[in-house]
Amino acid sequence: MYRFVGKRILYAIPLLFAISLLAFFLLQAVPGGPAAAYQGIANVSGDDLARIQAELGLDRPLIVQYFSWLGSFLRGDWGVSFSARQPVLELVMDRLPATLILMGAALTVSLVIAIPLGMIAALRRNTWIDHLLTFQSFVGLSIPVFWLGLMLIIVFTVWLGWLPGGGIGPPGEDPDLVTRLRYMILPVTALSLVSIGFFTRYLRASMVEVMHKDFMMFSKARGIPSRKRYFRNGFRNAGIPFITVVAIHIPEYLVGALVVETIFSWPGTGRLFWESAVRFDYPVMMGILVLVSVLVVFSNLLADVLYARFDPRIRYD
Amino acid sequence: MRRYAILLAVLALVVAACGGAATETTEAPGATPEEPTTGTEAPADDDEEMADGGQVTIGLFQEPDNLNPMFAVQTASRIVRDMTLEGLLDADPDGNYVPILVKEVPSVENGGISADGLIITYNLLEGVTWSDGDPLTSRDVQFTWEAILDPGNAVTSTAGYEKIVSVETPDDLTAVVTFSELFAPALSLFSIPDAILPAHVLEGEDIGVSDFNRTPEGTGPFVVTEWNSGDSIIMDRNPNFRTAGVPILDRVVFTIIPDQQVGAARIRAGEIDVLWNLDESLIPEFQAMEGVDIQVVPSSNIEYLGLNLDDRDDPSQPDALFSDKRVRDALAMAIDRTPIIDDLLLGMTEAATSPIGLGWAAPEGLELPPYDPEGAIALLEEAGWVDDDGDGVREKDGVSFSFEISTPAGQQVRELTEQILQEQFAAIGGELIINNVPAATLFGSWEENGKLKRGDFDIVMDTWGADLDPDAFLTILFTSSNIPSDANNGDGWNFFGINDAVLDEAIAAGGSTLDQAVRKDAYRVAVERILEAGVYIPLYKRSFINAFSSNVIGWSGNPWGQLAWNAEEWSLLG
Repeated sequence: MYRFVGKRILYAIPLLFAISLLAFFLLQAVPGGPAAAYQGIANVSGDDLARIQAELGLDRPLIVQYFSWLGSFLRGDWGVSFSARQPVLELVMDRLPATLILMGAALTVSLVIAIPLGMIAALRRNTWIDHLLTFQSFVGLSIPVFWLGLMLIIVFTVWLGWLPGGGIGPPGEDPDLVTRLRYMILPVTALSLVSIGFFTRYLRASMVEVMHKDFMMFSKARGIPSRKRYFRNGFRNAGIPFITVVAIHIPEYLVGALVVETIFSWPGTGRLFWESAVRFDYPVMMGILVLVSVLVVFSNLLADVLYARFDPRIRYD
Repeated sequence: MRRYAILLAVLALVVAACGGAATETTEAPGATPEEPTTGTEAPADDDEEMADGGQVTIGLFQEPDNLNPMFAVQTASRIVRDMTLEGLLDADPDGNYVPILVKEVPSVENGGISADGLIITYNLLEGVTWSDGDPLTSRDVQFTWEAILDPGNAVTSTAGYEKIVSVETPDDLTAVVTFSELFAPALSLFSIPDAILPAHVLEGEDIGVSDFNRTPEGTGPFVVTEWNSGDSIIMDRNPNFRTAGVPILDRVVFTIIPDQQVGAARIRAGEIDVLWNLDESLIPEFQAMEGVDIQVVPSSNIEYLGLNLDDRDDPSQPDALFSDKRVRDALAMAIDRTPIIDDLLLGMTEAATSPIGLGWAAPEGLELPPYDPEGAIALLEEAGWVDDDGDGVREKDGVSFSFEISTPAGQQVRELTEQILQEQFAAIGGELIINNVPAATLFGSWEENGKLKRGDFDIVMDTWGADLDPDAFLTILFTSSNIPSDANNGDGWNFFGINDAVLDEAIAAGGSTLDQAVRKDAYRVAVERILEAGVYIPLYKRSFINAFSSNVIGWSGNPWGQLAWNAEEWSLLG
């Protein structure tokens, strides 16, 4: 097991290296650049631009820039943001907790809601409840997050006035826990809805499949009470692939967070990434991209490890 | 493989994001209102926010990049930092310099400016302290100049500062600035949009990563107490401000909102009091809103059409259509600005007649060519453009009278304006093809093959405005040495390709003296020359529109300042 994990981590290193290289060149290949920020400022001359490029090191060949970035990065120096003029590591770490809170809350909420729904849908297959849940899942899967976010704000903030429409707390105050939770409700809802639909659908399918397995029939024949059968024999077996799906799905939340954080003014890394993209702030974008890549790679590793942990049939060498 | 699809998706997103990016507002002169309309009603429901009656919350849909005037390019940065960092001078709403950190505006008459214009003496105000309690001294002025020229600092612009040979400090309150050659906008240095930096804080620091860039010490009425990245910037009254009882408010909070729609929802819900820079299309919604006042501030920004005199494919050759002045004049005569101003902009502005729309240098009494489609048609026929095949589009020597218009994509008012122009040009037998592109593509640098820099356009619709001192604006847009080319490494923004010795001379004359009357005359000649050439067709003046909750009073607009330029005078009703 440890050998397996160790090996996977070793494999991850060249992969992350390749991703960072690709990302670096892709970012720079996009038309435009930090210079676009200076358009419209009459007293910024071409000489000024050339001077800034040189002073920021952007006039060097790309490959030199990449290895210079990589060298510093590996030593823990993530560079300096062009626009904020602050160390990138500080900027990203400043924003990371907000994203982790949002993702953690959304994942918890999705699971707490999706597991019972998926079970019910599978056990009451082809009844009106199942159809209703199927419908709900597809609605959840089909609604674009940005639209949902705006609708939530319009309904719950503007019309009903129940919940704050954005931010992490009232501006200029130090909020208590209840206030903080109130600010989380709408963004967490927006971020969870898609996953709830996805998880429900997956768990339902998985459960239905398991229910038709011989051992389920057998346990029924043995007269084991339904509840025990569903949970001990059914869910435990259906849950194994489900865990994998959940783990692989985690990075999905990062993508969602990019949109949700923007709509709800949530001060996380997703929005930082968006703002940096608009400003061609390469060092910040690279920092976040590497962080995301690490998360993706480790979510996958986690999925494999969990799979082995919960499924005695699978053994890694 | 499927597992890394997300990663690819993220990368794809990056590319998409960058492609469609850079629609952010860059620094531009901002803000002034009509009469402030102040309601008497308290705002809807903010029982929890207004505890002390001393806080105003401003919604910004752009987070400042940083608050250091050496580096910042965002308008939002100037809005925030102008409350805490001050220059030696500032501009009043009429565009006159006023003293801020000095006793009086230097002039030849009061001995502040030497007869040859090369030496400026600033007498600092007594008793000014930084927010940390240290006194402001002439060393701060000297340090500001040194910091801007320090090659390690990668500042946005050194324009003007590199012409200074020395800043001497004979005593703590006197700074003597000596120039190597005459620099006409000299008074804007250390002032607009710059500010004096605190030597005692920054000396010996790596300014490029300093905390000062986020939480600067300043001499202004407010001071940044907290910058919560991505969320809010909190400004409290500066306890060491030089005037007792100023400011009135205890606290101003800038909260970062994603866009104007969300901002509208939040001002309606009473979560924010002030919303910056509204799109014209949102005005009806705000006018209908109870307890919200609209502020319209004229600006020096002019929306214009720029015509490319050179051939798109080979800039060394003249353009087949626009190199003929009759054709340019015909286009100008074919434009009726009424539907654009009345319908699209809801009458919130007026037609522009000059590239310099406001301030001491703006020429008075200029008139646009009249709207005259018949006259335009006559000019085109005279120039040989006729519709031989009857398809509604004119031709000449096998070339169709068809041309493209480009503007940064995704801006509703501009897109609708293009459709109006399309109809108006069609009425004189011209075919206007709309080809909008991301701002970064349009305004990209020479190396990035920016469309304007490379002359890869027919007509551009854009906004640009002269600073209080129009020298730089006129120089980089209209002088022949600023036509981007290989020879000058793509420097300058004269993408029109206008090459006129008389114009060059007039602009140079305007920059050759500090005598404002002489300069104004020179700029009038320059502007008339530009309009005569017909490559720059002014459409309308851009206004800045802001919304204020009716319980906030005391605000006013200043085209040369920003939203919160007089925030020290703001207060809350009951």
